[in-house]
Amino acid sequence: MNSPSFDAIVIGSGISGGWAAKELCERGLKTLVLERGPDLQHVQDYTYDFANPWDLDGRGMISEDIRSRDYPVQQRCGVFTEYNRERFVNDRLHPYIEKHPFDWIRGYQTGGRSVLWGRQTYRFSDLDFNANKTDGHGTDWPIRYRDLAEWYDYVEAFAGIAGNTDGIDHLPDGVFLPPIELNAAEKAVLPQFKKAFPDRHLISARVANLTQPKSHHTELGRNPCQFRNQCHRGCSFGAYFSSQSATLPAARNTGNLTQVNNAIVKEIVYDAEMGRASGVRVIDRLTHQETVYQARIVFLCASTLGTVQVLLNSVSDHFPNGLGNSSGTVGRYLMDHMMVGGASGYVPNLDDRYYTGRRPGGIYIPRFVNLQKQTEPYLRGFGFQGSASRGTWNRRLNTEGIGKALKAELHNPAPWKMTIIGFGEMLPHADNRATLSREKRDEWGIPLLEVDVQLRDNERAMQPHIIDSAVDMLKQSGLQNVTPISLNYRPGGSIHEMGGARMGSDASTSVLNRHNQSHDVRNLFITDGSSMASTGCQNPSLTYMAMTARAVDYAVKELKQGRL
Amino acid sequence: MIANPSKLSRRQLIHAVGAILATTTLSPGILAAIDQQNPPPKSRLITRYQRRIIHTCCDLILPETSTPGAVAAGVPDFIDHILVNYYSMEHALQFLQGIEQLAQMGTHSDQWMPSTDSERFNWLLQIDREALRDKKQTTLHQAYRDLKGLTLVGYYTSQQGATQELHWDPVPGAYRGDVDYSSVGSASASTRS
Repeated sequence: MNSPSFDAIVIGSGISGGWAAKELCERGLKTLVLERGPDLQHVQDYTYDFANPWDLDGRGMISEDIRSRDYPVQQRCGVFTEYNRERFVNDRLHPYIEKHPFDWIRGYQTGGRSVLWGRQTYRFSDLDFNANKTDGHGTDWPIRYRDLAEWYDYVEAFAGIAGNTDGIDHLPDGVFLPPIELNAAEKAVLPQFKKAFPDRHLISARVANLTQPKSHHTELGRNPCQFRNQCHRGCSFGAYFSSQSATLPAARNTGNLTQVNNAIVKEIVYDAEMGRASGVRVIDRLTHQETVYQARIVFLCASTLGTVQVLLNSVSDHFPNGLGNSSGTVGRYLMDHMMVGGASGYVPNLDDRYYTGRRPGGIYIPRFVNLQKQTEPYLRGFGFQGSASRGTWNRRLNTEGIGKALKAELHNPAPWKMTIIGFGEMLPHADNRATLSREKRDEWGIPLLEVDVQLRDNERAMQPHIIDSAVDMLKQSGLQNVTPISLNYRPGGSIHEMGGARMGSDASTSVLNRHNQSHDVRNLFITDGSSMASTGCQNPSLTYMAMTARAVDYAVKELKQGRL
Repeated sequence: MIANPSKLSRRQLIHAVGAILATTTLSPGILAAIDQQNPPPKSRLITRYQRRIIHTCCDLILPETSTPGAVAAGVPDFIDHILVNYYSMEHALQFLQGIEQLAQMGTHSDQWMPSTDSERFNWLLQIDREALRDKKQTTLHQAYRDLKGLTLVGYYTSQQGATQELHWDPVPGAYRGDVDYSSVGSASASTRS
């Protein structure tokens, strides 16, 4: 059988896979990236990047028949429109089973969800890395902030992160490009907020958009953000970080990258005699032809649930429960961020102030509960993302008013309104898990994933506090007509699903060691969301980037020392 | 009740369905029979009568002022297009049923709509209140909510609406978060901020 051979294989080309490809290629390894979806080329395939709304005959609406037939789950995502529909997975062709409600929002193409993500980037701190040890939920992280700090520096510099040096211990500052400014309403609210809450912070959001590119950004063909805030259509300026704009071009520039699309990984092949992964079996999405690729090391970056599915389906005599699963924890301790809601309110007396341009990020309120010790009736905590803005014509889609009066009203923007939405930490729980279906397989013969995640006691205890504290904060900051926002949150809904192949020091209770290396299979590394031992409440992608770069550095050193 | 729906031509079927829609809901049997009839282009879905109602309502909801109104911005055609190509068949048929009921509500005699401009405006204003303030849940009111939404979307995403009535700025280049509103002069056409 033809088994093409490489130094390294990377499974997945998303946030993590793109980084693995770049780091491996830059260290001289001939690297194969296997992407299950079709190619999506930078600039050339951003069909709607410069489209006017009237250029789309449906003006961004999605056909109801297509929506219900092909996207019953993806449509639950708030940013899903015709402009970006083709970057979301076709649910009909890629089914899974929800044992309890779970929104699995995915993108199957080159770049994965890095072409759809919200671009918010925050570091974890030791408040997060210590959390499992402190309260006993989950297993202790085998790393601390000091292990990742230089890697956060490294990935932030390459990616280009706009942000402010805020001096907050549990939200460490980073390597920043100039921040995106707060607008008139946010600046007006800030003094009252600080007075009412001297221990809390309201800061500029930190986003992976180039406010001021450095030379290494422009050398890759990236340009400054044009403040259109339509990143999810694809940015021909390359102004936000994606695999397309940043990591894959860097990988390609080395001459060491081979990228194969439509390559669905069925299993990682284990060589029991050698005691390592020997390669990867792939089935072509379109032709169903199978190929085995061989490599000396494998980086599994297929996203949290994708990685779990590959591991569980890589069954051998040595690993009857899935590759690297001697602990029995593969697929377990799945988590998400609870995006249950928040609040909104109006900022008065600013009708003569407005903005031009559209920002890719607004404000962030870092976690302020349970910092030194637990003081709340729940463990851990939540942070808020939000912004202030002046509503435009679509504010009247569901309210009364017609005629000249309506038109006159919509000619001007609405008063300033600030909205904040909370992201709450979810505890690791053994029975929040994904397994493979015994009965159902997909078109390619791979067993469907059965996802079984429920909110438990701590989540239920935290939920009302997220919304109540949002209301309280806005009220005490002087906003008017403050109302709670309750989102119909289901696990998966924040698109921050994590866990399933967690890091830990003890091989009997975890899948990966402190280097994101499989305890059981020394040449297998996993650096995507599945590796997370806890979630914190910060957006996780930056942490995936840092862990990936760090793990490649370690893996290549080990490889060169002959230890893999 | 339609006996033997499969024996009717599609045109006869739509006509027959239209005649009874005021009093019954669409049965799966009728829907299936419609599908079975090897349907002609969906563009025949909407009758001229229904088009007149939609046209009139668009014009009342967003009239011409110093800038074009919904009609000049092509909104009736946009709504046609959405009904045929974006709504499911079931949704489109229910919408059209509701639109006809809406027109019938305004009649004092056997005229299909109130005859004077101010009567028409007051009639639609009343329906707008019932649908969007009182949130009445009838086929008529749901159709009105759909119609109003499509009118707003169709207008403010049209070239006339977006560029003439509102502030159009496709590539701002920078973000300025605190400017005099008077230097901008109108709301942003984009729903992003």
